[in-house]
Amino acid sequence: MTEITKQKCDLVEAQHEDDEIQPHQNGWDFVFSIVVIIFSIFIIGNSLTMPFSGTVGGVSTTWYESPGLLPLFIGLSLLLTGISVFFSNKKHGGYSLFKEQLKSFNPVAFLISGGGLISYIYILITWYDFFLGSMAFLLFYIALYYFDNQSLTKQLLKVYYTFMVVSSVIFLSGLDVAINASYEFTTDIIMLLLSACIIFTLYRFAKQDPSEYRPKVKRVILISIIFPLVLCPIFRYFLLVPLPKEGLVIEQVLNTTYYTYIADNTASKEMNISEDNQQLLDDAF
Amino acid sequence: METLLTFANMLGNIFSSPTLILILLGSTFLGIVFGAMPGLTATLGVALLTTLTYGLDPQTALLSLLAIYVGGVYGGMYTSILLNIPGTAASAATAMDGFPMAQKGQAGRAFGLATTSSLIGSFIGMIFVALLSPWIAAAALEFTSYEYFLLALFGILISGSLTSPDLAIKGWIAGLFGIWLSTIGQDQMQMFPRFTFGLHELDNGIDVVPVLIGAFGLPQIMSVLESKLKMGNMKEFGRLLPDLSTMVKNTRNIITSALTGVGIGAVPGIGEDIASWVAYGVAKKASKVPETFGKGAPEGVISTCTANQACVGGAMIPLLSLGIPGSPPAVMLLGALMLHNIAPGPMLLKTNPGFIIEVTAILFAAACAMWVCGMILSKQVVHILKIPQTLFMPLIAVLCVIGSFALGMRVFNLYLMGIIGIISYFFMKLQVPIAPLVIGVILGPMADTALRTGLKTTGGSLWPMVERPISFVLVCIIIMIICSQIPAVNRAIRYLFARLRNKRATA
Repeated sequence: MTEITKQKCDLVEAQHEDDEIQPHQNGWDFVFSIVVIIFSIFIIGNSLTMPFSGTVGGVSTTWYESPGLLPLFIGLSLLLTGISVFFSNKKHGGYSLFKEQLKSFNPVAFLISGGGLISYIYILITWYDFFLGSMAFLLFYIALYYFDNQSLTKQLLKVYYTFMVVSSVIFLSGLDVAINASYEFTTDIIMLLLSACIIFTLYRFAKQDPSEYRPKVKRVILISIIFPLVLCPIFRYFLLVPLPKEGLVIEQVLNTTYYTYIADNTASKEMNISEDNQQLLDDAF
Repeated sequence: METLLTFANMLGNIFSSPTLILILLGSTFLGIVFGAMPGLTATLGVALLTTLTYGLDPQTALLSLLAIYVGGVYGGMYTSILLNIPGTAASAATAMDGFPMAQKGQAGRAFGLATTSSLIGSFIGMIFVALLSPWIAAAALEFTSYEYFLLALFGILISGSLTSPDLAIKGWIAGLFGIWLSTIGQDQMQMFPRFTFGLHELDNGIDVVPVLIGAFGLPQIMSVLESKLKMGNMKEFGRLLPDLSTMVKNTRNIITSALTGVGIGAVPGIGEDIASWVAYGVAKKASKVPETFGKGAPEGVISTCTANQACVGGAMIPLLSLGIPGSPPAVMLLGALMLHNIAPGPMLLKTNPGFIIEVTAILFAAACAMWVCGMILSKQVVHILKIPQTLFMPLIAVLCVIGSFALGMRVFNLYLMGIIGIISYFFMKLQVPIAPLVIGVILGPMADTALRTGLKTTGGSLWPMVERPISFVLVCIIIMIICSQIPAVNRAIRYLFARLRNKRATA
């Protein structure tokens, strides 16, 4: 065998080994690489608007001291890696694989699991009493997966998202100010209604097979109420963390009970201060 | 002598206080439950407990967090042995021989071996923490800004390469995205607002804990609930026996596995899962009866459990000496330490000289608590495992939310956690590893400051990077890691090697 043929053979062998170690290609990597490329261009563009020379806040800067240096480095590195993934994916038929995978793509599972969490964070926690929001979320989220029944899932989704839409309309349009004008926690009643609707839906569903579903429904309701009821006092009074939103239950029930019957007694016993000083302390706060 | 005194003092403090003993045992048990429950991980356990330990003094907080970490890594083997479903990724290798042992009616023996070898693995890991961390930290005192920048870059690249299930470049993308996240907010040198999009909440940068909880917690919850995993019937495991004669016969296996665990744990971002698989492979290769592996060989259980726990100690070495976390739970530990105003790294030797020994003593105490809980409370853990995950996971979601909120008391942190959680979910589905992302968030500020300080000191010259020996070695390693992912370079290297082989053959 001549030297050139041998070299060609080596090259083919190397190429063959290289192909063998190529990992399994995911069609979605095609989209991922494009997103990375676009994102890197955004980072590079934004970094270039940062000062690379001149003065910043009265301090002269050079390119190597610039706040844009690392972001620019990240942007360029992301661009290169994105391009690399794109071409590696393209080489292995990534686009056609993506089209195939897109046909069988079913985002329902993500929309249900992610939708529940997103609505909890961005709607329930933001606008409603933490206890009521968490209770409603737990009722919905546990029931959804614990029963794992398609008809119940549909009903629960309808009830839950109707309330989410109503909440969004009320709070985004500013209607909440008018509703809460006479009593500041009126909107929290929406969460009570949502919880009641979910419980009603669960009991109606349990009628199908009371012996199997009734105990499960009771378990879901108990956990959904007891868990936030234990969690809220731990964070509010033990770790002294004010909860994201304190309303109908936390402010009106828990805080009132704690500060009227528990905290005052403990405080006066521990501090042993005179009435005048106590008055001064109260005035200060 | 002074070291031993500090060690004994710390142990005395822990074991003379009923409160600390209770915290130690409680956290270890909680860790075991987190590890045993498929879907819950040691990382998530440490993340959630960070919030609860915020009000405690740093040593008690660290005791609790390390105990949950050690317990979490150990707990994974429960469902691996009983159900063939690994509680954590780290215990997947244990299932290879643990489950066949349980099927043969030797579940109790498997548990005994796993628990005792975990204890030995912890001790060996602990010894390495005590010996190597101060030494590396002292060496790191000589580091200049460039070395720190290169170390951060190396950490992200190596964790991206080794944790990525397919393309290593995807791991790098996650790491780079993490560094980008860390650049959000006013930069530390000139206070220039970067990527704040006019939002004042972003001026001070993003809090680490919500990012960690979002990245580790939310995708885990969503994927577990979507998978609708149901636990089967568990095998009876009878009496738990620390089978000492088998342990003695496996002395060599234990030492090799522990060294493997420590070595892999010390590499930034690589966790117990890789350590246990590598140790399993090494034990199989070294065994005189490799054909018994996978059919209930005790050696398989011993090697994986030893490596798992030794890896915990290994992960603490770069964390304490360089401030670079060795594994995903160590990332969370670093976040927790920062919350308690402890900055791990070489300066720790000067600011808090006894800290490394204190951590070693805490690891020792946690390992003892793990063994005690493992031997006494195993049956209770099995009862807890019968709770359906569909009841458990939504509660974890509420804990994630309150945990993210509690540290900064900012609702904005919840929004941030939500966004990071969704991004991490997609990363998970696309097989992009999450560990490099969080390591990027943690190491990003160090990389930024070190790069610019280094350039400022040298007047913009990169030359000192190759002039100093340590940074030169790091540059070479980084180039090698990058080149290993470039097909053309790979081809050229293989071609060269093939030619060399041929030349040698003809000669």
